[in-house]
Amino acid sequence: MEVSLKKLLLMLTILPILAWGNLMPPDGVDVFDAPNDNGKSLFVVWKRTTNETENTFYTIFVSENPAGPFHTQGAMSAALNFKSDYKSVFGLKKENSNWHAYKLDSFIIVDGKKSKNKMIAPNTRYFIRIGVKEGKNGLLSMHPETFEVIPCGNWFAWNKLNSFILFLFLMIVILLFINIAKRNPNLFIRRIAGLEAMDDAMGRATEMGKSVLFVHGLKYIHEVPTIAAINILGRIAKRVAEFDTELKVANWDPVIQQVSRETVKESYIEAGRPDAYKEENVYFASSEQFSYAAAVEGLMVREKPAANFYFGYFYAESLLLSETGNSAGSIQIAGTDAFTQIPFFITTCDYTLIGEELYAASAYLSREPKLLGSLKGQDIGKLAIILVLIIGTLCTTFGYLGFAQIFWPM
Amino acid sequence: MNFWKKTLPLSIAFILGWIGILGDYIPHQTSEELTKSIMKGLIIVFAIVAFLGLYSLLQMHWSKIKRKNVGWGYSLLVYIGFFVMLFFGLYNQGEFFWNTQVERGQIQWLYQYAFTPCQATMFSILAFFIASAAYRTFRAKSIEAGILLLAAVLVMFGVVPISGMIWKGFPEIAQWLLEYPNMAVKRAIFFGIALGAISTSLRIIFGIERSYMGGGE
Amino acid sequence: MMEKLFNIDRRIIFVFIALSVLIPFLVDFDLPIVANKNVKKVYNKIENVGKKGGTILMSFDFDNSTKAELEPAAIAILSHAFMSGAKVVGIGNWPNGVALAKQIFAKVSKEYKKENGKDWAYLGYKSGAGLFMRSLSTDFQGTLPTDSRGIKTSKLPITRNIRTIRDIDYVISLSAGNGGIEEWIVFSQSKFNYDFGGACTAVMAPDFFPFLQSGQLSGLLGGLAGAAQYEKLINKPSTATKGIKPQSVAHLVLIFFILFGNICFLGNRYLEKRKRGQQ
Repeated sequence: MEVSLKKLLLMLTILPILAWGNLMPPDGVDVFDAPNDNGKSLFVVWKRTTNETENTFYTIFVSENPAGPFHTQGAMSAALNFKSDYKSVFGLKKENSNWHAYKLDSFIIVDGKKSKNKMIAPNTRYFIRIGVKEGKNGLLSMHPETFEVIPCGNWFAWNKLNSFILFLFLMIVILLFINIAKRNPNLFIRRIAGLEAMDDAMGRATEMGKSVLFVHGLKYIHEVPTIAAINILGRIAKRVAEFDTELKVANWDPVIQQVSRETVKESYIEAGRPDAYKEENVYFASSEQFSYAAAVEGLMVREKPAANFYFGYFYAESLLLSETGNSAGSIQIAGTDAFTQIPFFITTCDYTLIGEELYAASAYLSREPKLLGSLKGQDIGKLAIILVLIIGTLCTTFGYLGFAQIFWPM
Repeated sequence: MNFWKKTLPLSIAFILGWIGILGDYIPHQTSEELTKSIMKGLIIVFAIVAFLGLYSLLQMHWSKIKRKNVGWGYSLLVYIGFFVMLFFGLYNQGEFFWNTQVERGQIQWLYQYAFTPCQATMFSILAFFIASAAYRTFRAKSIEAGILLLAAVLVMFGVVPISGMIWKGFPEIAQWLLEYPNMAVKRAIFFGIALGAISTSLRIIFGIERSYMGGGE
Repeated sequence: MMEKLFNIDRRIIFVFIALSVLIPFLVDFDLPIVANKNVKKVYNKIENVGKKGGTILMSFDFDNSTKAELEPAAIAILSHAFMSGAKVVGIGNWPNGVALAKQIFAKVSKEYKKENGKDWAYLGYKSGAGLFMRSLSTDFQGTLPTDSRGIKTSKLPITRNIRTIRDIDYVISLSAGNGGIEEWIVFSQSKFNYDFGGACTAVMAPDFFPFLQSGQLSGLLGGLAGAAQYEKLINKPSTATKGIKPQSVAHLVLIFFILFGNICFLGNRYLEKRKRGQQ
C-alpha cells in the first residue's frame, strides 16, 4: 500500500512535467505586414493552445536572411498578447481572445557581450520563426515553417475611416453654411451676454482713463484655444484703438507674445491709430505658471485696469487672476474651454463664455456673415451628434451594439 | 505688400493646416517624416523666440526702472533675481557652464529654498481665494442655484473622511455626483468645444478667419 | 446687520481658513480614511507587478508648486513598489520636477535599501511631452540613452531589457497639468495599449473620469485625499495622512461659510419682503 502511494505521488509529479516537455509547436501561425502603419511593424498570429499556462512562453525569431542568424525580442508570456488587444486590426470578434497576436516592431541583435535594438524597417525582407517552451529556461518546440514578409507603409489609415468621414461631414456642413451665409447674411445667432458687454467694459475703461488687460491662457500657440484667444485679441485691440484706451497684454510664452504684438499692431493700423500702439504693452511676463500669475496679479493691484479679459485655456491660475481682478474692482469677462476652471470664472467674473462660446466669440464680434455661417454649420454638427447619441443609446439599451461600434475609436 | 501681408501667410496656413489634418490619416513614413520635420522646425522656432521673450521682459522692466513707474522696485527685483540665477548657473560651483550642472550647487539651493516656497505660496493662495469666492457667490438665488449648492455641499462633505463616519452614503453620493451628472455635463460641453475647435481651425485654414492677422478682411 | 454679514470682509474668511489649516497641525486627532475603488486599483496593479518582480515606469509630471499634493502620492507609490518587490524607472516631463524626483528616489530607496541601477533608476527629463512619450514607447533606450548620472540605459541591469513600453508592466503618471496623464493617454497609451495609472491634483481629477470609465486609465489617486488613502492601504501613514486633517477641517469651514452666507441671504430676502409688505 505504501509503495503504491509513493508511485502515485511520483506519477502526479512527473506527469505534468512530461506533458509540459511535450508542448506542441504553435499552430495556425501567420505572419503579415501590419495594416494602417508606417511600414515599421509586422504581425505574428498563432492559435492559443489548450494546455498553455502562465508559465508558457513564446519566442519569435527574426532574421533578414533565410539562413539566419535569427534574433529575438525575448520570451513572451502566454498570458499576454491576444488578437483582442488589436481591435483595429482584428475587429471585435469573440474568438479573438483565443488567438495570440504580437506586433513586432523591433528585435535585439546580440553580438558577444553587446546587444543592439534594431527597429523593423519598411520595404525590407524579413524571415520569421516561432517556438514555444514551458518556463523561461525550458526546451523550445519550434514551428517547422519559416515565414517571409516585407512590411510596407500605408497611404491611408483605414482604421480611422469613421473619424475621417465624420471630419469630412463636419467640414462640408460648415463650408456649406459659410456659402449660404454669403448669399443670406441675416442669419440668427443667439445673444451672448458676455460679448455684448465687451464694448461697455472698454467704454468704461475709456471713461475712467484706465487700461484694459488681456490674458490668453497657458496653452501654446499651436493649440486651438490660444488661436481663438488671439482672434478675439485682434477684435478687442481694434475697438480699444478706436476708443483710444491703453491695452496691456501679458504673455506667458515668447512665441505667443510675438504673434500678439503683430496682431495688436495690425489692429491699431486697421483702426487708423498706428501712433497709439505701444510695443512694450504686449510683453512677456514669465513662462512659469505661478510666476506668471504673480506678475499679472501685481499689475492688477498696482494699475487697477478697468477691464480684464481672460480668453483661452487656463489652469489653477484662473482663480488667482480673476479673484485679484475682482478685488481690484475691474469688470471681468472670461472665456475658456477648460472644464475645471469654468466654475472659478463664473464665481469671480461678471461674464463667462463657456466652452464653444470661446470659439464663437471672434465670429460674433465681427458680425461677418461668413464667420457667422460657420457657427450655423457647427450647430448642424451638434444636431447630428445629438441624433447619433439618442439612436446609439436606444440601440445599446436594447442590446444592439452594432450602431455604437461604428463610432468606436479603433 | 499684399503678397507678404496676406497671400503668403494665408497660403502657409492653408498648406500646413492640411498637412496637419492629413498627417493624422496617412501613416506612411513619408508623411511621418514630414510631420517630424515640421515639429523639429517648431522646436527651433520656440528656442529662437525664447531670447526675444527674455529681451522683452528685461526691456519692459528697464523702462519701468528708468521712468520710476509705480512699483519700479519690483522691476529691480526682476533684474536682481535674473542676474543672481544667471551668475550661479554660469559659475556652476566653480565648474563653469561648459560642464554638467553640479548636483548640489547654489542654483539648486536657490531653487529649493527661494523658488519652491514662492511657487508653493502662490498655489496655496488658491485655498483662500476659493473660500472667499464661494462665500460671495454660492447663493441659492433660484431653485437651480439651490440644487447646485446642495450638490456642491454634498461633494465637498463627501470627500472629507469624517463624512463616512456619520453616514456611509455621503462618500458614495459624492462619488456618484462626480462620476455621472458631472460627467454628463462635461461630455456635453466637450462636444461643443470639439465642434468649435474644428470650426475655428477650418476658418483659419480656408482664410475666412483673419483676425489673428489684425482683424481685417 | 444681515447686510453686514452678507458682505463680510474677505479677510475674515481668510483668517478662518488660515486657522482651520493651522490648528489641525497642532492638535492631534485621527480621521477614518477609507480607500476608494480607483485608489485600490492602483494598489492592486502595483501589488501584482511586485509579486512577479516586474518593472514600473513612474513619470514625475509635476513640480514644486504642486509638491504638497503630489509628493506624498509619489512617496507612497514608490514605497509600495519597493515593499512589494517591483523595480521602478523614473522619468519626467516637467523640467522643474527633476530635483524633486531625485530627492524622492534618494529618500525612499535609502529607506528600503534599494540599489540605484538595479532596483530603480531615474532617467531624467526630456522636452517634447507628447512626442517624448510616443518616442520612448517605441524606442525606449534610443529616447532615453542614459540615466541622470550619465550611465547608459543599455548597461543598467534594470533597463537593459526594456526596448519598448510593452516591456514595462505598469506605467503611472503623477500629473499636475499640461504634459501629464492626458498626453500619456493621447500619445502613448491609446496607441500601444498597456496598463496605465495616474495620480493628479484634486482639481484635475474630474477631468480624468472619462478615461477611468473607458478603461484607458486603470486607477487614479486624486489629490491629497488619494495619497492619504494610498498611505492607509500600504499601512504607512505619512505626510498625506497628516495633511488630510487640515484639508478636511478647511472643507468643513468652507461648507459652514457657504451655509452661513445662504442663511444671511435668505434672511435678508425675507426681511426685505416683509419691509415691502409693510410699505
